Amino acid sequence: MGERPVRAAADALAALRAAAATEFGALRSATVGRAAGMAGADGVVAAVDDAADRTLHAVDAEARRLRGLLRDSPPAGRRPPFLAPSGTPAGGPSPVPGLTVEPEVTAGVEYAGRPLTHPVAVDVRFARQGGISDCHLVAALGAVADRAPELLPRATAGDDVVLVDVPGRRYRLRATLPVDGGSGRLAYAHSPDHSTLVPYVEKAFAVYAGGYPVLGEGGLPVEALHWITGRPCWLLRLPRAPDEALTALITSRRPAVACSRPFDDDPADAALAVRYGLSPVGHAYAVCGLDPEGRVLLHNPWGLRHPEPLPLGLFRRLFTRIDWCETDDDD
Amino acid sequence: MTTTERRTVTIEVRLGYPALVGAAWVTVMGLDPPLVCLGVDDPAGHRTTAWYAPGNVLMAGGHRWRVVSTSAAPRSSDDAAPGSLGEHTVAVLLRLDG
Repeated sequence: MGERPVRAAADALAALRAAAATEFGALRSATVGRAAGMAGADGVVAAVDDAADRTLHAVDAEARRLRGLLRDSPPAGRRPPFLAPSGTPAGGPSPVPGLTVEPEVTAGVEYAGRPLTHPVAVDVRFARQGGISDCHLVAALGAVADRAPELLPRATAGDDVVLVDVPGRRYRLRATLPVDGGSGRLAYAHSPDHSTLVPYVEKAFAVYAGGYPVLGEGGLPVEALHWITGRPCWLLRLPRAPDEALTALITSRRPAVACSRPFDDDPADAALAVRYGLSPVGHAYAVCGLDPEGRVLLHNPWGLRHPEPLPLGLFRRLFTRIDWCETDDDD
Repeated sequence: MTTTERRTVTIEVRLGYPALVGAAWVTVMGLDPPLVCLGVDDPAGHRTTAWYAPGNVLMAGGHRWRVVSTSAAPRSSDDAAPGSLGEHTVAVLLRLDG
């Protein structure tokens, strides 16, 4: 399912290349005509040729990269977590050309070698936010781990390489992770058992997003859920949602992330947020279900300060939406 | 001759994620400028939540810290992406001992 946009982009690139080649041809002819007889005419034409070569070469390289993605695309849908994709040859991973450029990190953070290790247990607690504001991703990882762990990204290690597979895309990462320049501790997302699957998945998402500083600008859980699972994703706006639809989603096995709203304009709601342990600004939480009294159970991606169980009416008042994704059970 | 170097340690506490303060985590749980509600989670499981003004002192990670300054959060809309204000620094802590 993730293949379609990549294939469409490759086709669009091919069309663009053909159009660019035609335009460069026309430009060259015009340049030759106008420069005829002028001093330095050869140099002008050579400059046009050089620009054309460099442009078309860049387009060709991008087209090759896209075609590579199509070859490497793991199939979407049900699959066991953390297993090697079927394309990996037996007898150990082969050298992988074309490592992804290390995504930009924030101030005071540097890369250090860290081997890929898998978590002992996978549940909503296995991913914790670190020193960057990407609650949308970490809450989505926790929600998927809690309700559909078979849809989590897979990661495999090779020689100084970590491959992270999400539906439709493979990330070839150096076996390095961002660490605090002073302490050497992992700088961003981590797991309580110190395994490194979560930070490698976050690194792949940083490549997708355009660097860790971009992750720090926050984001929509629905996008993170789709990137992780490849499944159709939706959002439920709480003010308009019927009670039955809301409780059905909260108690379902569909990975769901609730988004709180900022409380800067309403002292009464700000006091309620403090009372129930919510962040004072918009934050993402994994939805874990209802308690026996019908209150909403939420998991904070910080790994601590989980909100108190929220009565449904209050949940509706303090949150704006739930982003969620379908699972294989919806097929 | 012996010289003693006193190193200044400051921590910026941001809206969107816990700050590691010594061995403890400090989180922002509420804002009412110039007051800020900070949660302190020590590794042994001890947990406090209290409001602080600039100049107040708190214990975290086995050290005393002064709240040097606090800052209000920028306004944002209900539709803003979660975490979009997360990098905003709400409080700066200065270590008082050692």
